[in-house]
Amino acid sequence: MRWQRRLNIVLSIAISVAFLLLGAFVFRISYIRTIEALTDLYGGFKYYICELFELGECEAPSVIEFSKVLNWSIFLPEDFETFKANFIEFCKLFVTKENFLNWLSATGQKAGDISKIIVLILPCILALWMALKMLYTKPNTKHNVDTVPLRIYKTVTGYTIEPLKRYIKQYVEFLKEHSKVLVLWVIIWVCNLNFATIIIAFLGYYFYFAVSFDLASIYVQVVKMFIDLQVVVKFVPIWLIVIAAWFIFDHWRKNLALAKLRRMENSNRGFISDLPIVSMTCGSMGKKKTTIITDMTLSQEVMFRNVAYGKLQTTDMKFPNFGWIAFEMELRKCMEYGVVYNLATIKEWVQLKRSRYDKHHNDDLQLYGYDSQRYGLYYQDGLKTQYIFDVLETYAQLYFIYVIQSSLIVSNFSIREDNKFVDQGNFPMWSMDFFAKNRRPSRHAHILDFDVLRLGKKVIDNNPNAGSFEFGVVAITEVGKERGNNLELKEVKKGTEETNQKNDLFNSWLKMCRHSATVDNYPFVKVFTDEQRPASWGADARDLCDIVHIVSSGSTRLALPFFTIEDMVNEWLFNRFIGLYYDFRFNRGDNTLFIYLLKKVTSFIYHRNTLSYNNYGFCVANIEKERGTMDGKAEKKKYYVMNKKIYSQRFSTDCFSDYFNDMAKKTKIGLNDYMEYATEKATVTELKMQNSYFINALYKNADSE
Amino acid sequence: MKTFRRIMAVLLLLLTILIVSYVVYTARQIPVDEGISEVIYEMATTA
Repeated sequence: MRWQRRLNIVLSIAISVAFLLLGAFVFRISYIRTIEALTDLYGGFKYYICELFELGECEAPSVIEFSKVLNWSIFLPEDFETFKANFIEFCKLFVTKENFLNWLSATGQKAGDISKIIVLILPCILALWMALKMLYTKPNTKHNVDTVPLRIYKTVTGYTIEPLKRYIKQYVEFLKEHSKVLVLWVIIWVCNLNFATIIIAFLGYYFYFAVSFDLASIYVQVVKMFIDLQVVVKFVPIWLIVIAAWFIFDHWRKNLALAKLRRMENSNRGFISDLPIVSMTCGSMGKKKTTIITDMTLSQEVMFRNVAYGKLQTTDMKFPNFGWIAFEMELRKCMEYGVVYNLATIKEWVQLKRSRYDKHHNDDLQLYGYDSQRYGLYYQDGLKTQYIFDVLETYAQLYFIYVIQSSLIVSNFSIREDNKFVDQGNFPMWSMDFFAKNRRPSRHAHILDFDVLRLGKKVIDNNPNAGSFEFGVVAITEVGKERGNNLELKEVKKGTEETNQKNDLFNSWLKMCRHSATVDNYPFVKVFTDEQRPASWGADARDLCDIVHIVSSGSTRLALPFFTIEDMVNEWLFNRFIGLYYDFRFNRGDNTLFIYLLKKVTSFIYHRNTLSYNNYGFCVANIEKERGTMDGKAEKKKYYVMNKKIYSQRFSTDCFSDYFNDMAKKTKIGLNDYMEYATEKATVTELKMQNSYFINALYKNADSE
Repeated sequence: MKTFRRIMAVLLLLLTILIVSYVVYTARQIPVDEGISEVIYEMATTA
C-alpha cells in the first residue's frame, strides 16, 4: 500500500533524525572524543611512517597519552605501578577475616531488606491467588462466550496494541528490505556509544605499537578503553544495558550450541565413513532405526558432494593452466540438453572429444584454448602418467556428481533434503548446513524402483529404469520384509518364471555396485538398510554388511549452555499455568480475561522452550557395530541424533501408514465398536470371539474328544 | 541426573553471585584517586 510505504519512509527519516539529535545533544562527548581519536590516528600513522623510513627524530604520538576531553575516573588507576600496588592491596584485603565479616554483614543487611519486601508482598499474592481461585471455580457451561472484562480488553487492544503490533511487524519487514536504513542506524549508534572512538584509537595505537613495541603503554590503552566505554554506562539506562547484554549473551551461547552440534555431526560422519558400502541398522520398535538410517543417508549425501568437491580441486591442480570453467560450462550445456545424463554418457562424451583431438590436434576447439605446447598434455604423479583426456574424464564425472541439482538419495521411503545450490554463473557452491536458521527450498529423495538394483530378472519386463543406477545413496527400510531370509524363502524356487528374491540377482548387485559408482578410485555409492533383527535378512546379503545395533537411545538433551535454570523455571511455570488452566476448563466453559492472559504467557513459555529444544536438542544413541557374519566382537559407539537435522520434516516415521489407512477406511468398525469383556473373567463365548489359534485348537480338541 | 544438574546449576549461580559480590565489595574498599574528569565532563556537556 502506498500510504503505508510513505509512512514507513517518514518514520525511518524521523527515527534517523531522532538518533542524530540524540547524538548531538546527549552523546556530544562521544563525537568530541572521536575527533580526538582521529587526531591520535593521524599522529600514530605519522609516527609509523617516520619510524619505518627513519625520517629523523620522531615525535611520540598523542595516542599513548590519556584523553584530554574524556578524563573520567574509573575503577582502574592511571598508571600500571599504582594498579600493581592496588592489586596487591586487593589480594591482601580479599583474604582478611575482617573484610569477609564486613561483607557478610553488608550482604546480610541487603538480604534482610529483600526479605522484608518479600514478606510484605507474599500475603498480597496469596490473597490475590485465593480470590482468583474462588472467582474462577464457579462452574458454568457458557461455551466459548467472552466475559465482559475480556470483551472490553479485546476492544481496547483491537484499537491500540494490535494495529501497533501489525504495523511494527510490517515495518520490520520494510527495514529488512531496506537494509541500508539499518546500516545507517548501526553507524549512528556506533558513533553515539563511542565504539567508533575505540576502533579508531585502536588503529592509531596499532600504528604506534607496530614500530615501537612499547609494551608498557598497553595498560594506558586498556584504561582508555574502559573510560571510552563509560559513555554507555553513563548515558544508557541500566534496563536497556541489561536487555542488550542478555541478547548478546543469548547470541553467544547459541553460537556455542551450534558449534557443538556441528562437532557431533562431524563425529557421525566419521562413523559413517568407517561403515562398508552396505550396512544394516537393527533395533526393536521405537529405537529410532529409520531415524538413524535417514540421518546417515542425509549425511552421506553431503559427504559425497564434499568428496566430489575435494577431488575436483585436486584434479584441477593436475593441469593448473587448463580453462576448467569453459569445460564446465560446455558440460553443463550438455547436461541441460540431455546429451549427458549419467557417468557412462560422460565417458562417451569425453571419448568423442579425445578422438576429435587426436585426429585434428586443435587446442582451441577441444581444449578451450589450452596451450598444449607450453603446458603439456601429460601429468606424471610418480605412479603413472595420465593423458589430459583421462583427467578430463575424471573431472567431468566428479563435476557431474557435484553439480547435479537433484537428490543423490534413492529410497523406499520419502526423505526431504534442503541443500541449497548457489550459483553466480561461475563455479557453483552447495550450502549444506543442517543447522541453517532459515528454511530453504526442499527436494525429496528419488523413488526406489527395485528393478534398477536387480541384475537378474525384473518385476517389470523391459523396465526402462533397469540398469540405470550408477551412484548415490540407497536407503531401504524394513529390508528383511522386502528380501526375506533363508527360512522364509525355502519354498521359493530360483528357476520359476516369476521374478523372486532368488532369481533377481539383487545380492549380486550389492556385491558389485561399487564398480559402476567408482570415480577417481572412490566409490560414490552407499546402501543403508534397517530391520528389527539381523536374521530377518538372508545371510548371503547380510554377510556383506556391518550391523549397527541400537542398544539404547537416550533422552533429549540440550547443546545450549547455561539453559538449565531457564529450563527449570520454564517447566515449573508451564506446569503451574497449565494445571490452573485445565482446572478452569473443567469448571467453566466461558472465556475470561485472566485465563486469556494466562494462556498468552503459557503459550509464550511453551513456544520459547520448544524452539530451544527443536533447534539445539539432541540425543545420544548407544550403538554396537559388528560384522555381518555376526562372529566377531561388537564395537561400542555413539551416534548423535540432532533434532534440528533429523526432525525438521525429513521423513515420516509412519512411512507405510497409508496402507493401513486404506484398509481401515474400507471397514465400518472402530475401536469403540469392539466387544468388551463382561466381567474380569472371560466367558467361553468371549474366548471364542478372539479367533485365536490357541483357543480354537483347545476347543477343537475338546469337541473331537 | 536432571534434578542433580538443576541443583548444581542453582548452587553455581548463587555461588557466582556471592563471589562477584565479594570481589566487588573488596575492590570498593580500595580508595581510587579522583580525576579531574567531572569538571571536564561538565564543560564538554554544557559547552
